Amino acid sequence: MSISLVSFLGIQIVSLLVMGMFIFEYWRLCKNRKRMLHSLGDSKERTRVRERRQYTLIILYVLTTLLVLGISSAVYFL
Amino acid sequence: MDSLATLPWKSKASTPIIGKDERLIFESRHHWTKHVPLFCVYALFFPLCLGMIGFTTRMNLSSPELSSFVLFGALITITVVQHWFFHAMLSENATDIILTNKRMFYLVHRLWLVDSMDELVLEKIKMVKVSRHGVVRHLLNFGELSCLFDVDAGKTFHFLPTPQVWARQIESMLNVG
Repeated sequence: MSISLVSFLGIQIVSLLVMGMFIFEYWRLCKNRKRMLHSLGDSKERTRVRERRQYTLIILYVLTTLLVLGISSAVYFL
Repeated sequence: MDSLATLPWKSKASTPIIGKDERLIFESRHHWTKHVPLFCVYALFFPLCLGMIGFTTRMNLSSPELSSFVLFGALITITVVQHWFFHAMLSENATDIILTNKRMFYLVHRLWLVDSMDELVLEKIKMVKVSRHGVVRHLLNFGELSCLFDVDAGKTFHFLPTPQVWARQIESMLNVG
């Protein structure tokens, strides 16, 4: 492969950084929303359902990003 | 500048300040059908790019230059598509439509890009209008809810699940008020 190792690793690192930034911002927004809805008297059951959805989305994001990372690294290095 | 003070809705950033006697009635986000076109693009590009990345191992033997070009292109494309899709999904999940006994909030978030809040005072709403066009909207029970302050001024919420329930609730609160 003639793509340099630096550019390959650069793409992967940027990808991980972007993912981290998005998850951090999403987490912050969810925390704000939880606080706001709690002050409006939201039920615990609904909060739990919402949190489960948040976790699912984050886990999906992390897993698919790692899948891309793993497959492309395997192809590049092997 | 004076229009902002007289408008029945206000747009500003960050989260709203909640009054003591304000309580939540409904909270929703856009209907999942809004994400279908987005998901279709993702479902098309994701396996395609992964397949191309895998295919470069076979191509590498015959033409290494072309193989590295394809690998680089596929890697860039899949990275962009992956983050674009999840950026949109996370943003949609952070967007909220909230109805309290006094106000209605429309919180729009696009991660790191947009952070806005529309606030509608229920007292100033003159009329509520629901529209659901098409078979899909009737089957899946979602549509548009328009809160009108005047003949032609108002705010419309698109892709709202069960808009008729929201409209009925707002109307009942307006009648009580």
